[in-house]
Amino acid sequence: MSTHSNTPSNSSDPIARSTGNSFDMKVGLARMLCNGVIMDVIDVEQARVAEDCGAIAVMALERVPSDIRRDGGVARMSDPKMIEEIKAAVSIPVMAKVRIGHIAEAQILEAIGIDFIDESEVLTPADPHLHVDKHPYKTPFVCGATNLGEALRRIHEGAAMIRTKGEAGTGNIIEAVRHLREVRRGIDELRALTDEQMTEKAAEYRIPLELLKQVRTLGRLPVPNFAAGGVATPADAALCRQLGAESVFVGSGIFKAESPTKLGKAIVEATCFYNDPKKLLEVSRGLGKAMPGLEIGRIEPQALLANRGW
Amino acid sequence: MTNTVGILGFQGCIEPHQRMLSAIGAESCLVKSPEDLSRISRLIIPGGESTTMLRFIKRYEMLEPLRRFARTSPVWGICAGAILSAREVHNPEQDSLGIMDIAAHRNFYGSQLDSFTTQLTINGLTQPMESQFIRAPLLSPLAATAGRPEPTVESSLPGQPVFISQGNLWASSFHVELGSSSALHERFLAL
Repeated sequence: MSTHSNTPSNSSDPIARSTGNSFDMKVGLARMLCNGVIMDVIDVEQARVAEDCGAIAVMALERVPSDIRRDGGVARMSDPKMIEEIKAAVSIPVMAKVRIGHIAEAQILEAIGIDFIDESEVLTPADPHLHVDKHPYKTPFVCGATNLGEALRRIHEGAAMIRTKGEAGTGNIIEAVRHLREVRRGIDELRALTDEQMTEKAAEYRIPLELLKQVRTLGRLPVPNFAAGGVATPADAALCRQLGAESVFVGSGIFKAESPTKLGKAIVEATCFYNDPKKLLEVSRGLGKAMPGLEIGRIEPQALLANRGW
Repeated sequence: MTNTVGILGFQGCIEPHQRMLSAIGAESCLVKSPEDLSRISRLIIPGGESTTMLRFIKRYEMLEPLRRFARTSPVWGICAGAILSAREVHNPEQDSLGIMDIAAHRNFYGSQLDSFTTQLTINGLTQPMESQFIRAPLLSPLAATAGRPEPTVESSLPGQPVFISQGNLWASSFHVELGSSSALHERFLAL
């Protein structure tokens, strides 16, 4: 799959190194991104603002989810040129999105040397049955999930990070909360299951029993679990952290708001001090208008992005 | 005197340290303000994004308190933490605590595609340590500032120092908290 060959090991190297696509390595980078904010940016200028606000990574894409939702049509991987320009402009990791199941887009992003690939329901799915088999890639993947079964299918396929799908581009946090709670409920439920019921549950989730047992033992997902989809305020970020999200993606929320820099910084602070109400109060004051929001019930069911993915 | 290990708690790979410390019976707490430093005996600056952490350190006016803490207490900077500890930071240049006489060259080993795991031989440890290099910086010792001991290379890959100590201060470009051995954490607790 990958032709990347910058592998430091050779015969003159006395130390054996295992490089690239070991699953643990990919989860390792995901762990470095914990306790932080990943911001959607559409150009170099926004990427610099995001870095200055204290983002731990940026997601480079041509249109933020709320614009994709408004424009309709097919949403695809961004132009590699703009991704490369953003990569050159910032020192923090850069992520980019591929369509669900689009292995060629994923290969292109890996060839760029992107730090993380988001196989995202925000773009129009490319495969009606399968997600990308993520194991052969050296680049780590993040995937969205609405419940435990979906999260574990993605991890079994090789995702090194899980995020809630939420409902991207709505500025409405309810779906992200639903998904965080669903994953938690699914994990808690495992404790009460007999061996036979565990086997049935693994079959229901379409994953190996071993992975399900691992989750039961750990009491959490074996990879970091982030929140995404609908985060629009510092309080939204703190809510997600309190519900167990280890970091927060903010898509349309920052650059569709009245004062992106102020809001971006405030969301970074709130993500760090999520359990400190006084600090949350301090950072929430006077931020200007948040992005316009959408009620989920007013969205046609076929337009719900969270339903994409299998 | 407290024996609690502080972990700089603004951002990054915090939880694996908490788990590892708890497994060897050590108390730990997050450090997010100058006052928190009075509750700890030693500090880990974890991996993560050094630019993000630096922003928090400045905003919460912790540059000087951290420098003072490091004059008397052990500090272990890991990856991004090593960058923050370094006197000189390159690629790009960036402010830092400057508590150790080392230079850090950011992202020297490349992007995520060039991250790797290896078994590392470390001075004072009988067993090699499983070590992960994740977008790691290159560390190199500099001449000691007056009044400080000389920096010592405790482990290297061919031609490249990866673990440097200077008195009670440590800088490692690799991660051990993601592996299964707590040997280096135990040694840090003994400083």
